[in-house]
Amino acid sequence: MITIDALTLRTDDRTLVDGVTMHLAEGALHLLAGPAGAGKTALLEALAGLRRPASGSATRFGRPLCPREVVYVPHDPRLYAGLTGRDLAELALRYRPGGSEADAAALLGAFDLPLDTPVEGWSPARRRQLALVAALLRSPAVVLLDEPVEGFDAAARRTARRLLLAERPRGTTLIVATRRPLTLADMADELHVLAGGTLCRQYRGDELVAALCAAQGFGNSGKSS
Amino acid sequence: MTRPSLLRLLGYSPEWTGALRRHRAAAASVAAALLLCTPVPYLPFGALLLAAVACRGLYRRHEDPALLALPRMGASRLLTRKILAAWRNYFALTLPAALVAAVFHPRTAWIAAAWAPLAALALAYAVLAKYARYDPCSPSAGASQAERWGAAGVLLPPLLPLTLWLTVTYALAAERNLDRYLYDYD
Repeated sequence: MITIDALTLRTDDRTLVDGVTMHLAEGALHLLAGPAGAGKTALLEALAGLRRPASGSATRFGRPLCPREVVYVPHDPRLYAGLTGRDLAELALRYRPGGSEADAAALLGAFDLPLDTPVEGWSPARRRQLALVAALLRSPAVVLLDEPVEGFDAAARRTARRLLLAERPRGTTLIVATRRPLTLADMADELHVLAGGTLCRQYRGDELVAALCAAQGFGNSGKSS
Repeated sequence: MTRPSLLRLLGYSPEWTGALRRHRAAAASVAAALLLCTPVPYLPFGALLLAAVACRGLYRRHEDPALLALPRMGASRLLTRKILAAWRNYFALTLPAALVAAVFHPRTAWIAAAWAPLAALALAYAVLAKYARYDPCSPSAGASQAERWGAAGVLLPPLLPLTLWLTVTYALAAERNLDRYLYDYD
């Protein structure tokens, strides 16, 4: 269980997240939804250890989240300039803690990426696809994704969904920040809506399905698998 | 048999691989310039030292912490690894030029005894200075005036004490800084 307890994040001149409390179940997909400026990215950065809270805490099983168990894929990943996609994949594979080469090759081939060209010439969406693959290659316990499918075409979006769904049997906890929750909401276990740095609503189980159906304007057809 | 990748040849150093891929023409020009320096006594080792100082350019941009965490090492081990990779690649690439210079001008070969440690210091300084000011939330940070003077210390002997002092300062700061993102490794 990841517990976010009265977490407040501030910059010099404004409050990004104000006293947010959440209990995020392990092995589930959690969507953090809300408009721009709601505090989603700041919350992910705090969970990744990139921002220090002004007050409150974020813990996993009672202790702070540590780099070994968390991977954060930002909205615009900064990869090493000059490296090709294959170089970065090779780096990720070299330090991979176990797992089969076949699985790794399947992950690398999931998206149609130009692996032999330098990554700085790629679109942000493609860089995000590679960063997502590199993150999943590390088999972390918690994956934090900021707008992971923004700018993806339909095929890439389907692939991303497939990859995220494949993490479930492994018990990976996925925390996804997005402005457009409907894209991934049918896969989500919990939806947390943020606005102005505070937590407005949380949906779980049937409540989430009902909210989704209402948002999409059709009857209750259940969640996809 | 598959050919080893450039990344592997360069000791899995992303900075050196990226730089060689991005600036092939510049790398070739440096090699040509070093060759041209060879007939002039004393000049080759100065040029090689200048090349070591120029390697600071490889350590300007800040990568994502997820990439820093890839080798699954703590701050001190990661810094050691980065410095060793820089030394390995620099000396592997420059040793032929140094040997040619020593063969052409045997009387100047003693300069290699000064060149090697100064080049090693310049490279360690570049790595440590980068990670002392590493900030995952900004793509890169400009070098401070002190850092520039410190980098010049390997070329200007009066500034060498400053370089040594800054190297120690940056080493402590870099370890403390990276420890925030890599504290549970090691």
